[in-house]
Amino acid sequence: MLDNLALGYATATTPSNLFYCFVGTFLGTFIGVLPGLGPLAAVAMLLPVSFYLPPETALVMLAGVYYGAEYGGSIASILLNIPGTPSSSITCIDGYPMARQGRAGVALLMTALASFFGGVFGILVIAGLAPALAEFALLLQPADYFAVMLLGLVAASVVSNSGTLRGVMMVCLGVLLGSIGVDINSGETRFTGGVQDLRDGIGLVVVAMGLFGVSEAMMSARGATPSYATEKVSWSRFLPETGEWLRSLAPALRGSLVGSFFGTLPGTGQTVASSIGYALEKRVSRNRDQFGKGAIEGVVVPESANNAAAQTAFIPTLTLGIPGSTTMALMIGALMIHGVTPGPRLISEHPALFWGLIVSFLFGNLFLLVLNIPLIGIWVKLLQIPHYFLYPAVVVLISIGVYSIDHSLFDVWTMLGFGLLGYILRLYRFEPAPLLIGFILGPMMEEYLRRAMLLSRGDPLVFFERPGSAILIGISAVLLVLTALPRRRRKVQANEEVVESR
Amino acid sequence: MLIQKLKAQAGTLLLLVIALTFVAGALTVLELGTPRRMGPGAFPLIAGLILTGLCVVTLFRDLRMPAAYQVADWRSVGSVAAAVAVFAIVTPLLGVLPAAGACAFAASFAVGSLSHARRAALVTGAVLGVWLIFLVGLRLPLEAFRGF
Repeated sequence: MLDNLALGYATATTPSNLFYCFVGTFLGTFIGVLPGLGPLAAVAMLLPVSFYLPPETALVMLAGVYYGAEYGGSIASILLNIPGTPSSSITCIDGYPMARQGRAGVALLMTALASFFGGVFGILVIAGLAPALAEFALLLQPADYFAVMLLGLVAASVVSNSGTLRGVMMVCLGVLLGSIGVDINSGETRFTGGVQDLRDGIGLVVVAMGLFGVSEAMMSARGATPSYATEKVSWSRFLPETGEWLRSLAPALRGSLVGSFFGTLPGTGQTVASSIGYALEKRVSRNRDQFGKGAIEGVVVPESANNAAAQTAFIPTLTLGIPGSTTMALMIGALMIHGVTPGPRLISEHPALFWGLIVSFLFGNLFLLVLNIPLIGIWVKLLQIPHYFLYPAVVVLISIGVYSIDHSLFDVWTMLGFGLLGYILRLYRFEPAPLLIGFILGPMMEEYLRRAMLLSRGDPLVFFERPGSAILIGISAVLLVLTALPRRRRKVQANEEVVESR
Repeated sequence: MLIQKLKAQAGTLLLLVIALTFVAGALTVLELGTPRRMGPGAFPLIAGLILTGLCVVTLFRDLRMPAAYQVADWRSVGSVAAAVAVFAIVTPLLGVLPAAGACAFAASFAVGSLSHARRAALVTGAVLGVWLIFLVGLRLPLEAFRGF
């Protein structure tokens, strides 16, 4: 382990990697602070830039962008009550009341410290757990992989804000879109309509930029400029009271534990981690009465959980090749573009990349801590950029970003098509995030399904004969049933309210 | 009344059309194979049929109890779509920098009324930003100007 960490240290501390780690965290925070733009948009926007860097450096930069954007999202939550990222929406509950009480500085400092604590906790979990999981993953058969991916898709559906049914529909659509292009088993082209540019399938960045970048610009461009918290954030107003330091320790640890666990589950992501961490803390805390009114625990727990999950989401991504979250799906795309296949052999075949990335997480978190406290003033100023400058600039950036990948105008037109599709889906309450997970996992899932069926001579019972796959399929079924039933009842009530209000 | 109900289901209907297209393509063009050797059409057929089934369930459920939906903001949609389209049209004719300017100009109509000075500042800022970030900073092999 120490040898590996030493190798990682040597890789992460090259001047170029440190520089790009810094650039990544800085740009990530910059984009994450802007309302409506989260880590997914940030990674998608900077993915084309990373193509021109060596694989280690590219991944280090993108990882920095990722957790920088997560942190940036919390700043917008606390100061504006507008979550920059879905996972930081929980931070709004207590962070914004703190800002209104004139304690924005304290909330921001505790956010930075809790994020750092959660991040480091998550890094330790990865360093300890990932190699063991990778070795275990070598024992898995195609049927097991299929079941893991099914669980990932089900998890992505059930945590969707638009409800399980709509989440599953989005996953299916993603799977279908992922099947466009040449079938690698038969060499036949599928659903291309004779268009040569579609032979290699639709690019991941094109889909992500269209669904999240273009459609977000369409949804939010005319949104009113929010009234910003204009409190002057000074050093003297950063420090919490002595009692609050002590009160924050146990919640930070609990949040990190919850976050580390949920981050490792494929498809769940940080939003679930921070919500469950918050709900759990509300039950066990002695100060539960203050939750929702500016309790410091209410900021510490979601932030530590969120950042621990942001780190441990790399475990399934790197060791199984299954994204821990939607943003991780893009990271898988980045790895594959650089010729690195994520999976159980990644650690043994690319040790410098894996361990370099792990150690760079530590530096990235340190950069976040050291940079963000003095730079809080700049981020607050950034929140005052008028939206009429912001959204046109975003449209230009994503257009040029997609074009720069292959100098393909077809990609730009396709992105526009996905932007329109994403917009329509959002109007009708279909959240596009599960679509992207289905788009990434679909082709892999098909591959394992076909292999498993071939090995079992066409017997579908193979998925229930192996204990691993049987358990995972069982969990997927239970998850679907449990989440679909109560949601359906709530939906009926909501529908009744809609009808009554007309 | 029925048209209004169907309008509320436009998203689901769109998904249904997409799903049926994939199902039809898998059944008519692609080989389905056998359970042992699944053909290229089998997996998309399964996914397409699941999506079709779920669309039908959603349609029936939401027709009985109308679900809420948002109304499209055509000005934003049109401007952003036009901005991306303008970028795709202008780039091969004039190069990336004029395309970036034209894109920013078109996108600026999405955000409501802007003064001429602000619009000019936005376009200039976008062109300068693209030049500094992509061409000078990242040295991407993009053609700044073409046809001049």
